[in-house]
Amino acid sequence: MKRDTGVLKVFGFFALLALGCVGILILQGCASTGDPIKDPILTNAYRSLNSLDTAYDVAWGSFADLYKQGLVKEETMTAARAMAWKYFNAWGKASKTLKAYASGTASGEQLESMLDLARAGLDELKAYLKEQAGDQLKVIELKKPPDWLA
Amino acid sequence: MTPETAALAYLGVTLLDILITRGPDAYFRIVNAIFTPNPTLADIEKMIAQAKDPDSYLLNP
Repeated sequence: MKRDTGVLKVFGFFALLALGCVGILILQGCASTGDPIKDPILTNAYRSLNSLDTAYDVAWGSFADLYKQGLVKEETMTAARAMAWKYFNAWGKASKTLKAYASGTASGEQLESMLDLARAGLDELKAYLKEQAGDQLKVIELKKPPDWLA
Repeated sequence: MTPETAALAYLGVTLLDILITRGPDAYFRIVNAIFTPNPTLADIEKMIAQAKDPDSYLLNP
């Protein structure tokens, strides 16, 4: 009887998750009908920046938690913090370039080069954090996209 | 599609990981971003405002 309740809870959790995704898809679909301007460069850059920020949030948040637990040495944290700021500043510049691109004052090439710098900064940060924290660090790894979304 | 988008657009383990490790705010933020077809200036400004600098993670809750 106890086991059945557990299964039901897990099923309920995934059902809610699926419902949330479907709800967002429907809302986004409705919202997009009023906006006829489509720019794949703008959309992809916006998604990339959000994705980079989420990947940074997971990795850096996880490392910061380890630091707060006293599991990271001070000198390691100093080096990691410098890399995190380097990435964060590159991400900030890329975001501002995206804003400029949306306003028509920056080119697609400028935007892409800024995105490359942010990507490189995050790769460097993640590599260092992984090297220092090993399996204790939570990171997001890149995966192949599903065909229906490409 | 860029690699980063691909990584997070994969509606499987990755998104579930985000939900578990970073909570519903991060989860809905990224799902929302993935399915935003035409971001506006307001969307971009909101994204910039939501970003947390490295030092803010080190503050005690």
